Amino acid sequence: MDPLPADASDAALIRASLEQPDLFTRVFDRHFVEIHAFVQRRLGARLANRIATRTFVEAFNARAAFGDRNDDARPWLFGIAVKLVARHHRRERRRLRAYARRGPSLLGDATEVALERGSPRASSRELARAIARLDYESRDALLLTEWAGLDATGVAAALNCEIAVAGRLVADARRTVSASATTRTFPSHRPSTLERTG
Amino acid sequence: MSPASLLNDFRGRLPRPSAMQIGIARSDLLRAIAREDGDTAIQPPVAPFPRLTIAALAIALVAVVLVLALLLGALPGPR
Repeated sequence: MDPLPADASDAALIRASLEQPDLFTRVFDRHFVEIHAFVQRRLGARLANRIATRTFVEAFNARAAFGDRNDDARPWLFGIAVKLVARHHRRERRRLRAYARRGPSLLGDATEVALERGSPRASSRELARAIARLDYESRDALLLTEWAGLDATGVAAALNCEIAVAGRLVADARRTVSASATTRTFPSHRPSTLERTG
Repeated sequence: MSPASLLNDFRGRLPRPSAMQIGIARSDLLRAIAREDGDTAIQPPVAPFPRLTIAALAIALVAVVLVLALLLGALPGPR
């Protein structure tokens, strides 16, 4: 019997799953799609299924270590996903560079099509190129913020670092990427008076 | 488009995984859960002194007694 209410927190479910393991499926039902989307953005559809699945199996096996974390399991799950994605960092970089060079036609992947949506092709490509140049830690921090929607506390929990470090990583990465993409996409861009004074 | 909004635009929207993909992933998780359940269900309780250990101890004890007997028998007694 499932003893917890439908709105029980992730933390409550994970702790209760130590005694009643099948409760962990509720954590899966809540977050699988989001983890899958994050991995798919980074590595493409082919690897997304395998890695998102692996994330939850590893999370289940390591749930005793969840301990007294916050109620929201997303930073923890994203942290596991990021470690698994890291094993494919060369592939990710190749993907971003290929996208920057040739656009979505190369892989014919839904991810690239989605990246194009609502954005001029050139700017998306420059952005991909700039992200590919980031070191791995900065890329993780940036994408956990931009794509996973985590705040600095969540990024810190996912990357297992101090909140201040996470904040600095995100700020630096955002600045680097924006500057790099802006320079190449908008070569004639000069900061406006408002931007200069702000 | 302003440069500042580039990152936001990069987010895009992705199609959800299909019901079949979710089902397969869920099955994998359920297998892991079943494995753990199985591990705890099948694993026999550990006996404090397994039979093999008791037998080994008994044999060792007999051997020690025999060796001691031989040694004592071989030693010259008081005349």
